Amino acid sequence: MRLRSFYKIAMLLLIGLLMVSSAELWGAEAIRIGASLSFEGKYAQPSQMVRMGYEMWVDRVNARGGLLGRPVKLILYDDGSDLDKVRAHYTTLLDHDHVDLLLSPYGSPATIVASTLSEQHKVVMIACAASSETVYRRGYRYLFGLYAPADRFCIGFLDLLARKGMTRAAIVFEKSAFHESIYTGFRRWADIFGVEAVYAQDFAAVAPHFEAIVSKLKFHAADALVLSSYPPQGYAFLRAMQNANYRPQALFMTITPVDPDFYENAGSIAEGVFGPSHWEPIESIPFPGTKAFVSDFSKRNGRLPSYHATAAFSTCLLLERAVNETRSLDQDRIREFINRLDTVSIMGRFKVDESGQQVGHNPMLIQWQKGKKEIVYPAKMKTAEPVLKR
Amino acid sequence: MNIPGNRLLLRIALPVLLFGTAISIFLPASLFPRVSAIISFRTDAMLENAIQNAVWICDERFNDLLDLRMESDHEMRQASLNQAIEEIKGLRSGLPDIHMLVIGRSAEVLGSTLAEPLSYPEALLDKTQYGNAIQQVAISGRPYQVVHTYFPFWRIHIYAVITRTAYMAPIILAKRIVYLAAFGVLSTVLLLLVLLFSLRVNRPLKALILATQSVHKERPDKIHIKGKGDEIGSLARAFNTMVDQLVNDRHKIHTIMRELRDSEEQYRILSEYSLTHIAMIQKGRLLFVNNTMAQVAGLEHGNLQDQPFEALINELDRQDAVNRFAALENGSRQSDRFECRLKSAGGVIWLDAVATLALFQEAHAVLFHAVDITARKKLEKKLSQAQKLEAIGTLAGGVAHDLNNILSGLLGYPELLLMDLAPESPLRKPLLQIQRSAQRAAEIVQDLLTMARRGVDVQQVVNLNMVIGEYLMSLEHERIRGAHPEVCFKSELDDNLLNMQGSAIHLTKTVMNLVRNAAESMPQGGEVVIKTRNRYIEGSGSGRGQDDLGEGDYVVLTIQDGGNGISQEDMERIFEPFYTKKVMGHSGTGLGMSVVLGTVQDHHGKVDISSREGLGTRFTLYFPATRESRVAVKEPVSLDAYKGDGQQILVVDDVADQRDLMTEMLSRLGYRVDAVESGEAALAFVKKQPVDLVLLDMVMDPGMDGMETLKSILQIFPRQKSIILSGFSETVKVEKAMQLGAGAYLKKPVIMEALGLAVREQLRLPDGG
Repeated sequence: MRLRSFYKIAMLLLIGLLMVSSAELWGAEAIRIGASLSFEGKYAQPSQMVRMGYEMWVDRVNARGGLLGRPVKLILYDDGSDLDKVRAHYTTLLDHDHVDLLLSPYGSPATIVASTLSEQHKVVMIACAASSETVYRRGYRYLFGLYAPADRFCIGFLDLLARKGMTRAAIVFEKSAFHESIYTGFRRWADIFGVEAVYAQDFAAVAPHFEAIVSKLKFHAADALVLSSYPPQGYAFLRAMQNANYRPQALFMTITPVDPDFYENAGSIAEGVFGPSHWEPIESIPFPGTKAFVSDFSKRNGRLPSYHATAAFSTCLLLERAVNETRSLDQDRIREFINRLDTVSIMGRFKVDESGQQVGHNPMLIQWQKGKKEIVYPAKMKTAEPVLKR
Repeated sequence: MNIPGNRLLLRIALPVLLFGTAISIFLPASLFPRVSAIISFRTDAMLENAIQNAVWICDERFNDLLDLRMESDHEMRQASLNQAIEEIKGLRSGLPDIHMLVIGRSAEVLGSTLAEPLSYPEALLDKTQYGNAIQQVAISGRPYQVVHTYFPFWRIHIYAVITRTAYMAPIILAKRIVYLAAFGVLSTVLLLLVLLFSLRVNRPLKALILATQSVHKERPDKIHIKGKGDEIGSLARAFNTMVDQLVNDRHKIHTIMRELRDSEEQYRILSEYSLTHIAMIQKGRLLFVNNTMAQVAGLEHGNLQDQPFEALINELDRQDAVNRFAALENGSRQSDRFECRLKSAGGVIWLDAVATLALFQEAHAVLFHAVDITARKKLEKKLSQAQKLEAIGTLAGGVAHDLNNILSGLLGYPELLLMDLAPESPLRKPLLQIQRSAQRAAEIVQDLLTMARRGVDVQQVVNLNMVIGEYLMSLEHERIRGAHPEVCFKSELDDNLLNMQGSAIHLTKTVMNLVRNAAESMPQGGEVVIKTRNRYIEGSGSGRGQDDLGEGDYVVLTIQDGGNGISQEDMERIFEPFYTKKVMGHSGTGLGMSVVLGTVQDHHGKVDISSREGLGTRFTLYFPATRESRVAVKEPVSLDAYKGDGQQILVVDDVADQRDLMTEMLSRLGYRVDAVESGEAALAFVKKQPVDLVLLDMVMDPGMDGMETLKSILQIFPRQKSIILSGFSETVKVEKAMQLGAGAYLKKPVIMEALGLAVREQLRLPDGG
């Protein structure tokens, strides 16, 4: 009996100590971090990845004892891929919620909207999912990009085409800032590599006429096709191509093929499709923390992360580092720190220019080969040789 | 047997060598394209690696520009290109045979490690627009292997090139190495094969051959081979087992052969040394003859094939023998016994033969066994002749006794009458003729007795030369010479001829008979040679025909003529009494040769006849010589020298004429003579009136004969002197009578001189002398 009483007393004391510690931690005011993501709509798929990246970081940082000794609270709003809601949610976050730190939404259009508000409030925003140069040509001081610029997405694809002597390429792109940047980059790099743009066509996000576009593509018989769109339009265009029994020798798509489920979703047409990528969940990628991140993410979410999730997680790590390094939530100090930062995150090298645009790394080129996503460019990172039928 | 060289090795190694050579030629030839491909692939890989390294360099420089966002900066872009070109050119340091070449978009040569400048880069660009396949391209007239790539950022064409010579050098080297290696491997394999074959197969095989060649030895060699688990080992074990078995079998065979040899030797000895004549005949041909048979028949053992048996048989018996053999061989008879004559080098051989049917080599054969019965046949013949002679002798003896008694009167009375007749009396001639005829008759009787071998006294020592000489001077020889004037008689007498014991009369008779026969055998004339000589004959016989003579000195008489010769048939019967080719009673009595033979035999001699028809005959007579001196020849004695002096003589003879003749002759000689007709009378006479001498006839019948009478008289008067008379040679009885005490023996017919001399000599002897 005495022994049992002793154990009871010991357990009560231990529980008490934990409660005191927890009360001391969680008794502190939480650092609020907010963002708006598209739980629905055309940005939903990549936004989902971004959300999982944000939430995973919050869990990890709180598990590590929080930020500056304070717990981190993530405030997320669903904008339904609606830019107005993006604007509204960030206004709320800044004016009503008074968040201490701000995270970016998904996509260049949303980032343009959100970053306008954060710039006005002089709150640092590291855009984890915006690569359009439009985002960064506005002279903002508190906006930084994690992605390489969109106009560089086609470098690898066009370089490979030129090396293989495939000099006729066409481009079809959605009317949006990001995709227009893709088009701009396509034109520029095609000229550099000696590839002729035999056909260029944009389309509206709503009710595009893909069959007509495919017919024109068949007419021009380009060696290669660059298709820049968000996933819904991307899959729709693939279906249109299938329906028209059209397949150029080389097919490049933005965003859509990055999804790990692309091969399952697209079917046999997915074989050989190229796409730009900022990161891939490949253990051989020599960036610190990559292997642990992939492993933890897979365990936590039951699937491999895309570069959207990784970029989100990496953005959070950069903010955490800036706060911890400056030991402050002061946005100017954080901005100065990021401005000078030249480091290697799990996404690769992070370095921004004076406009806040990422210059630390260039996008990779992936290709779906036999159901597997392989890095085929640049040469020093490739996991497989590119397959180009000439 | 020589051991063959390494034929097996050659037979195996040579095809292997040829096959290996073919393989070493064709295999590399077939492999070389692959090897060349591998080497080409390696060189191509080096070229491609050089290109990849060049691309890598360009990528690096290009990525640097991208990272610096300086890709649009012309100066940086050119600087990076220059740096990349230098680095590409530097690749050659690690690949000495490979040259790097960089050509710009305007076909300008931006960088080159080639020694000579590139003449027409445009041509190179034309051939290698894109793609990086390895091609053979002529650069400045020289062939090169080229790998190309295009780097679009700088719009440059990068080439990795290698001269065709350098490209082919490793291939050629590899080709040499392949051939050399193939040759080396082949040589090594062949050497090992030869070595292994020599050790594992050839050497054991040679050992096996040597061992096999020693199989003829008493103890064949065994094989000791290592590696007993293989086939050679098994063969060696099998061979050794065979050798053991062979030794055992050979031992058994030797034992059996020895037994067979012994057995065969026994049978061979039995056969070869058997006195029996043995032969085996099949289908009339000789299969086998033993030594005895072969010697007799003059056959050689190894020369029997195709010898007909019948050729051995005397013509007289041949057909009979052939019939008998045929009956045996066809199975009609199982055996047969018969006598036959065999032809022989030494004459005819009589055989008592048994022929038996036998089975030899699955065919009927005749086994011929025979014993020589020639001697028996001769004996039988002799016996027959002896019996014949005995009968003749008995006849002659009986006749001679009576004839002699008769002749005693014919001889005695003329002699008595002549004594009384005046020399000029006309009766003297007839009396003398009577006396000669009686004398001739007495001679014939004497021949009969001689032939019957009775009454021959061979106690005299005579010299055959003197006998011959007296004969040649005799009237008988003169008559022969007269009858055969064309014949020349020649004598070659040995002056040193030894004496002999014998009867001169009989010897003279013998010589005369032979000379007469010789002369008569040469009607056309010729020469008769009479020769004498001494000869010593060895114990075993020193010459043909003398085998039955004892060792010692012999006096040899040879009478040879060149006449007609004697036929074989006559030769066999030449000594038969009364056998003559002459006219009986005219020129011969048929007793001449019988007398010769009888005389020779009485003298313990031997007669040889050698005759060839048409060429002549030679008689050779052998008489035992003696070293005794010849008795001096008695000189003719006058009647007075042997006249008596009135002594009393009793004549005992059963024949009255003989008693009268003896009485008359003794009376004329001056003796007182009484005569009785029998032994009993004589015994009675002497008991009543003793006499000085008893003249006793040996043969008296009936009553006591002379022997018994003498014995009885001697029992009464042991000193009684006596002379025995006989008409023929009762040799045994005479000898006994002489032993009893008879003083002399006189043969009838008795002439007066002989009687007077004998009587006077006995009477002169002291009593009981």
